[in-house]
Amino acid sequence: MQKKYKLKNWFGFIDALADSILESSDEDIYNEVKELGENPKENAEKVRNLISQAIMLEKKRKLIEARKMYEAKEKNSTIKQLPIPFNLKDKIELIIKALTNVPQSNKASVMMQFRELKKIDDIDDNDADIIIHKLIQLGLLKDEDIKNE
Amino acid sequence: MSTEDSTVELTEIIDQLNSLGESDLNRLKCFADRKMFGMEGVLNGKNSEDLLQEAFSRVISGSRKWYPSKVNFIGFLFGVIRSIASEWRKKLVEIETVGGDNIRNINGEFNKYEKDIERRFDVDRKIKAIKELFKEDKDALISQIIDGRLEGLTRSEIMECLEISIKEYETAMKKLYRRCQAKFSIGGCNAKEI
Repeated sequence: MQKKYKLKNWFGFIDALADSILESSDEDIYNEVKELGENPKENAEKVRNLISQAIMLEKKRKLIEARKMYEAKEKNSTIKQLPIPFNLKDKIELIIKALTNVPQSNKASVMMQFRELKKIDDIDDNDADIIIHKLIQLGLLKDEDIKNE
Repeated sequence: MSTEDSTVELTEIIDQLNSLGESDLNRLKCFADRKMFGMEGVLNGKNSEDLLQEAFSRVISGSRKWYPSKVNFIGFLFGVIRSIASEWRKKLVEIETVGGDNIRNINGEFNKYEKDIERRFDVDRKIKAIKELFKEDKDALISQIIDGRLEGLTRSEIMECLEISIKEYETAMKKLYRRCQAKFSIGGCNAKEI
């Protein structure tokens, strides 16, 4: 009875064909490519393009990863700096206190930072968070000040 | 550069890839073409370029690490291509085995899947068509090599059995490839013609 070939036989066969490429000389490879009606320069270019695409994709992936990490860090630092939930009234009091305590010599330059500051009554919760954040960055508010609130 | 047992930085990998010469690039392509020969339509339309792209991606992303003290760069790339091809073949098996009937036998092999793929893939006819090409040859060497490979023998086992040198083996493989190529466009991955 004639043998029936299986998948593993097929894989064995094409693996043997592929492995023989490793033993072939450069000249043999070039001859084979030409016999196929292909151009070795164009083939090399095709593979180079695949390499470039892979490099570009990896750089893109790293950028996205870095952006995600940065955003997560930013989020964490905001949360860390403003750990205590307090109401708008408390926040405004904190802002006024911080601004009042600014030494006279610095006052003008500090107030420049807040030149777009709305009237104190118009500040909403979001504005207050931004101002507190900025005051922390300027060193006019410390973690302890917030915790003491 | 790295220490003897360590891997290398991404920039060095990119340098190595960018410095591959035309002959290396052609060799990689030929290797991938042959690894994917006859697989079109079976692996969700994947072809030899997909295989190369996947290999480069894994190397660049670092999911496959290069140890320069163990293997040169081009050898490393061939290894990555080889392992991805084998992974895809395994996946092919897994895809085909989704379903209750495909249960592993006592040796851990799948029974039903093989029959399904073999039928769909027409393995038996493809192999017989290739063997047929060399049936009338006065020199039976190529037929014997094909039979040896089909039986799962390695190159060195075949060489030992047939008492031939590497050079004779490789010359025979070249003839085998060229004859298949002329008849079935193997290099062009057009195994459907078989």
